Amino acid sequence: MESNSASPPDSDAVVISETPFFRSEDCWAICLGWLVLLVGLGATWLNRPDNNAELRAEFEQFSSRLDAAQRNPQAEKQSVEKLRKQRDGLRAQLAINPTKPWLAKLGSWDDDPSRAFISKTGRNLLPGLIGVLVVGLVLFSIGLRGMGEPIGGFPLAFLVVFALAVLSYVLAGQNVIKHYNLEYALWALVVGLLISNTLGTPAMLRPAMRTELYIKTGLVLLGAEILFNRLLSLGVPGIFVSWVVTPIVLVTTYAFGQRILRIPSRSLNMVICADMSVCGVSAAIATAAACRAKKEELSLAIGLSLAFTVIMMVVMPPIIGALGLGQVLGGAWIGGTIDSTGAVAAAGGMLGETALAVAATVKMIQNILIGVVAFGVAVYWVTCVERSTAGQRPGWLEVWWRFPKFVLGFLAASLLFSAVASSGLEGQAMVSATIGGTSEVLRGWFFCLAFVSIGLETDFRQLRKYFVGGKPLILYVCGQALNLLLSFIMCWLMFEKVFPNAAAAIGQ
Amino acid sequence: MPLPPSASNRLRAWFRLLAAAAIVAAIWLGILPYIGSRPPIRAYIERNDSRGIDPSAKFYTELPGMPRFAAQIDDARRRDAAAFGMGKR
Repeated sequence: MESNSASPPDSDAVVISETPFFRSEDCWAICLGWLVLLVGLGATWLNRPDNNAELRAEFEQFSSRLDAAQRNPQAEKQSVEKLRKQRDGLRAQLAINPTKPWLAKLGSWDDDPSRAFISKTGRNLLPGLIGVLVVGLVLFSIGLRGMGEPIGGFPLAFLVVFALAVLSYVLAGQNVIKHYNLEYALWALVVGLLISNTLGTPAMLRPAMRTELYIKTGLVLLGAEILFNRLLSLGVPGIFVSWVVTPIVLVTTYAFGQRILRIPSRSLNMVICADMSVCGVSAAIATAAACRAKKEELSLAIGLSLAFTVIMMVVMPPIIGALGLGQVLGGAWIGGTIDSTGAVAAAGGMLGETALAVAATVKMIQNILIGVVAFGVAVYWVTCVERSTAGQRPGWLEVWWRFPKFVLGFLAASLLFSAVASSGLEGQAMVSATIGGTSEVLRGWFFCLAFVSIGLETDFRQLRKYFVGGKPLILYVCGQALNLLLSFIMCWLMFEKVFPNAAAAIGQ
Repeated sequence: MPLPPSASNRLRAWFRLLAAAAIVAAIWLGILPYIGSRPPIRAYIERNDSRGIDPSAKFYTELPGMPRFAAQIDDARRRDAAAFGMGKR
């Protein structure tokens, strides 16, 4: 992403950096991200239990019993659920990530913020928090050193920025805030904006305001969570709902923004379209990095997405109930349209257990699309949008130089983890343990650090110009209306007309 | 990036920051806990927690209940792959 001061919103001209690749942010984001992933995966592999074969045999046994129970119409739902829990417990025992106790996200609280530092199981989260601080400090110091930048002022500045990220997580952990999907990205921005627009950003914080480095490293870690083996979870209907409608909405809305609304900034248009059509904040972050959107544009897109997500998660379930659409169709519609994954689950849960499972699965398949969208947007940007200073389309060599190479690290992480997860039961368990114990926790903190940095760098008054004429809002509303319509038609076709037995099988 | 205020405006800037912090504290420590204690909101929060739903999750891997939701769908697909267009009946 670019700083706002670099160029006006309508400038697409690009000046190629002469920094060698091994000194670039992209190179170090890939190195740092992969270091985390390989350490997490390696530690989990080295820590695998001795009674592996027994656990696998027991898992197979439980799977057969579960299948038999589910085929039996007289089997009690509770006993099926108990069997499923026991089987999942066995899978979790197959891979235990030893780094998990040393890295933590903060918990939730009602009226006492100190509860944020204690997990639901009563575990003290402070050691995990210190672990994240140490890992972040060491990793990014290495990165800055590798990029040839001075790191003298970095540790103290990082400590302060990290403290602001902790404050953002605490604000986001309040239960009412959390359960209405007002996530930490928003509060990290607010905390940064409050400081920068009252006191002004202290110069001593600048060494740790590394938005791009945090975001790109976080995105490489996110790559490990994009598992292509989950793509067929819902079979053909899932692919049509998530992977056919979403790109159509994305491309159509982007074209609408360019040709009809004439939004001055292409990158703002693209980020809003991606976060509205794919999966909210995470898609916005990935796309913004791929098309080098300005920080203010990312902030604006996230603000829009969060506001509409809250409205949709409250409004859609009663509408679906009133229309009598049923849990499978209703759940799929929610999964295909509400931006944020958590809000999809919350809205699906309001309809029932089946709707919850379908909605979350449709959204999961859509989440996987992030990798393809980020790659596609990066290619489109360097080949079609950005011009050389002479206004010509770039040649292939120039395209390669301009290409945001962290995207390749992100895709490679996705392919490696997808391959490991596809290798069998043990591989699946190892990937889950690595993601849950290492990459997902650090990725969350890195994104939070990035949003605090964006807030600290943003002049609130500069956000105003993006609202002139209300074009971003019109773009979002029109795009979401198209998304709602096309998703509904596709869900209805898939689950009511073409594959009606799928709905029956899920509801069994 | 916003520049630090001049010395004469510094006091005013601190006042603005402290006022904003006081508003945030009043909302987070007073208003939100009150809203969260209302029966319908409490029930909603508890229902989400018991089902493994974290509405603030940005990605499916952040949903505590995701393995269970995915397993439910996987089991249905394994039982009747043809219904999902993935095999012959």
